[in-house]
This record gives sequence, C-alpha cells and structure tokens, in this order.
Amino acid sequence: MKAAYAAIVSLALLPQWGYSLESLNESQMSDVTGAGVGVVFEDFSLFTKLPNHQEQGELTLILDDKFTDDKSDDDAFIFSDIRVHRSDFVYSDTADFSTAGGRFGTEEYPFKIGDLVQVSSILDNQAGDAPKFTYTAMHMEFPGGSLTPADIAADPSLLDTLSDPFDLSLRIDSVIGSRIGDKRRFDFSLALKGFQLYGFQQDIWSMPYYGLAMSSTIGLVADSLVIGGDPNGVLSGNLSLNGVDIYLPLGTPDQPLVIGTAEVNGKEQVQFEMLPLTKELALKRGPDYQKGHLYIKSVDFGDPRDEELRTALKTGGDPSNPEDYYYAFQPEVGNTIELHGIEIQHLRITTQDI
Amino acid sequence: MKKSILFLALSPLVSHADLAPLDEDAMQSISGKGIEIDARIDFAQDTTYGYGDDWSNNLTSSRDDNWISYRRILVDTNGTELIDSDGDGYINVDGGANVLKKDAHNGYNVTYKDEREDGGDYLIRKPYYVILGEISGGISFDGLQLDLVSDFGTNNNKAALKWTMPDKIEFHDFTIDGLYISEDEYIDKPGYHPDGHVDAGQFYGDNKILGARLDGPIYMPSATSAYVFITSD
Repeated sequence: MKAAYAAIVSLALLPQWGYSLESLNESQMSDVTGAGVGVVFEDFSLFTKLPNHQEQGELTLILDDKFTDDKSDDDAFIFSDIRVHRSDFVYSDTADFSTAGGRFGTEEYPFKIGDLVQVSSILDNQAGDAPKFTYTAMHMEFPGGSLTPADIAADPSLLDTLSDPFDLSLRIDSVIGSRIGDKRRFDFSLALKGFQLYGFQQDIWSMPYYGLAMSSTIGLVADSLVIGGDPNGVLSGNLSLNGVDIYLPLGTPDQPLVIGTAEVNGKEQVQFEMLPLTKELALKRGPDYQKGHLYIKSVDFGDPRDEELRTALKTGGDPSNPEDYYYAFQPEVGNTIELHGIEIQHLRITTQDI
Repeated sequence: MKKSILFLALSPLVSHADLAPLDEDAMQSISGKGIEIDARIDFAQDTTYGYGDDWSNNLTSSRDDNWISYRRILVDTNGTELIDSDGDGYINVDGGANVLKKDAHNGYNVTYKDEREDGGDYLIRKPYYVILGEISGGISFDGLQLDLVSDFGTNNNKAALKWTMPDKIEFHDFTIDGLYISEDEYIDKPGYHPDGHVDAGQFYGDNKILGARLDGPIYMPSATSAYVFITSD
C-alpha cells in the first residue's frame, strides 16, 4: 500500500516537468525582459596592415559578376589598409601596437544582445484602454544605446564613460572590368576620427503580414570625417567635415523598417522599406516627439588654411599670419550645417544592377 | 522494493536541482579555468557539378555547397501562415483571395497607388528566399583564449567569460560568392543565354546582388579581450 502511495506521489510530481516546458505567454515574457548577454571590449584595435608585416588583408565587394570563369573581369570595390584604434594612438613604423587598443562599454553600459523587450504602438486600441498592439522584440544596443541627445547635452562626460574615442580609416580602390591597362585604381580614402557612439540600438520582431520588422536609432559624434581624394593623403585632396554630430531614429514600432523582395525589370531584388508615416500617427506623436539631427561645425575644402578661402582679416590681425584670418565654412561660433527635426516619412531602398 | 519506488519518485526533483544555473559564488569558485582554441576551418566548394541532360541550358546548381537561406514566413493576426495558395505569385488570406496591402491589419491601413496593370491595389508578394551562398575558402587563428574570471566590473567582483582574441586571424580567400534572391532555397546559377541560343541575350537563373571576398590577415595586436556576462534589470 505504501508502495502504491509512493508511486502516486511520484506521478503527481511529474506534471511539474510539463509546466517547465510550456512556452511563456506575452505577460510572462515581459517578466523576463531585461536579462540578456552583455559584452565589454577592452584593448580593442584592428588592422589589416602593419609595418614590418609582409601580408595584408583586404575585403573585396563584387558588384557586377559577369558570370564568366575569369573573376578578374568582375566589377568590384576593394577595401584595404583598414585601421581601428584608440584615437590618441599614432600609427607609424615605430609605434608600439600593443598600446593601440581602446575600451568599448562598461559593466553598466555594455553591448547588449539577446534582451527581450516589449515594443508597443503609441496609438490606442479601439476600446482606448491599451496600446493598439504590443510585440515582444529582440533588443540589441551599443554602449549607452538608450541615451538620447538630451542625456548627452545634460552630461557630456557620459560619452567618455561609454567608450574611448576611436579612429577608423580605410582605403577604397575599384576595379572596372572594361578598363584598359591597370584595372585597379585608387578611388578615395575614408577616415572617421575621434568617434564615439550613443543611442545606437535596434529592436527586431515579427509582425503580421510583413514578417521581420525592425526599428533602430543611430547616434554618433566625431571630431572629423575626412574623405581623401589623394592616395598619399595630400591635404589639398581632402574634404573634411569637422565636429560631426548625427542622431537618426530609423523606424519605430508604429513605423518599422521591413525587409522583403521585389521584382524590378524581371529580376528579383532585395527591398528595405520603412512603412509610411500616417496622418493619425503624426498627430499622435505631437511636437515633442524625438526627431533626428545632423550638425557639422566646420567644413574644410582641401587645405583649411588655403588663401582662397579667406573671407576677412581679423581686427588688429597680422596680414602675414594665416591664423589671423577668417575662413569660409569655419565659423568661430555655431555650426556650418544644422539640420533639425529629421523625421522620415517613407523610405524604400531597392537593390539594382549597376 | 519500497526504497526503489521512493527513489524513482524523487528522481524528478533531483534532476531538476541539477539543471539550476550557477549562482555568483559558484561561478567564482571555478574562476581561472579556461580553454584555448586554435582553429583551421575550411569551407569546401564544388560548383562544377552538373545536373545532366534534363537541364537543357546547361545550368548548374550549388546544392552541394555551403549556404544559408532565409525567407519570411507571413502570418495573419491569428498566427495562421499565409501562402500563395492559387500560385499567382501573391499571397492569399487563409483559404481566400489575395491579400492587399490595405487589408494588412497592422495599424497602417496603407493604400498604394496602382502598381499593376490590371489595377486594384499593391498586393503582398510571395516571399522569396535571400541566400548567402557558395561559401568557400578558409579561416585560421591560434590562441583564442576563453577564461572564467571573477574580477570583472566596477567593483572587480562580477563573474564573466573572458575571450582573449588571437593577435592574428588569417583569411584564405574566404568568399561568399553571392547574396542571391531565389524562389526556392537553392541557388540556380545565373547568366545570359549565349549567341545562337533560342533565348540569346536573355537573363536566366537567380539574381545575384553582391559578392564578398576576404583575403589575408586581420591583426589585433593589442591583446583585445571581450568580457561576456549576463545582464539583469
């Protein structure tokens, strides 16, 4: 009898396993949000080319495959001499590369991946007692991904808490198959100096009728963005945008970015579409809705001290001293370019054959 | 006899206890133990395999290669999968007519201008596969170090998995030959029919959007490390 009793007890315990395997419903899912995987990088640097090393890496993007066995006739972009390092590290033949690394993130502000979060419509349902819809999304963010421009303006030192300033540079060459002679040609170089990221985050979820949907925000401040037109880095060949500050929301739960395919001229292409901003949604957002911005402090066309760019001699200045002049697109106060209130109404990007 | 039955009765509880995650203290007691990984990874490629005479225009397929394919699964608000049940290239509501974009119940009620010659609406097309295909070449590195540490964080007391990156990762013509769009999950190699063919000059196969190739080393000379840990509210 006792044995039978024990067997009943054991059977009674078994359903616990059943419970533990049941999937979570939406409200239970919201209880587990916030727990994800955090990653912090220390001493991070990356190069495809180092002094005293013969081998160098390069990345080739093949834009037009001629569908022949000869790969050399494909049109391509080649990215080489890629450098990512802490901003105050100076690349040279004698530099100590073990000191080139910098930090991305902290325990409080790490890279976050795998967080489950709830994303909700700002519109109300028909009864007016709840959001129109709520989905569970996979959240990813760079250090400080939830910070807004107002947070940074209130405490600019937050940027240095999130990460060290970094430099990123690379060289871009192109190969055009029909070109005679030397097929590979230098196009331009790109350098982002002293950059830091904030408000950089992304949510991904699945939505009825559309499948994969996402919303993201991009925030970046940098000392300068330099586009170099000379392979040897001659100043006159540079276009330099200084004091760059970009903040751009790309999609929301109500106006997400969806990824699909579309037929264009008989060929299937990939299509990214940010769904349209409806009148109802625009009204609900109101005037205080967080919009994007782009600020550029000054612009250098070539050499920033080019005489052609002088606009006036400063009061009491020495005409022989280049620093005593005002220069075009280099204001003493304020910005050269300011775009406020950037809000995307509808965006559709479709790949094309070049 | 009685003992064995009792043991069986308790076994679910015992097993359950075994599956509990480690707490901070337990993690710390195993700190300092790790592994080191050296790897040589080769991605095979064979695009020369032909499918014989029934492929009249001598197409080849890359079903024998490495590839990753992705397709959207469209559902309605009840979670019912929507498919192109009448085979016209546009998806249908569950057992009914084509889904129009303005019907999509998502809070937009979007109506597009007429984009089709037969008028009506902008229909939701049958999702195609996006395929990263024909992955070939190799990747190698030495000295990827994984350690459990207990001194991570502001107060040097948090447990984390520390990855110390190798100082060089070598790519050997590592190629993703193409990002393709396809109706099925396989790549039909694209091209143009040659002169003399009945469809000379016409495009056939799946559209290739982009290809990428990485060759040579990537150096990480500053002993880069990544700390991986669990975040909480």
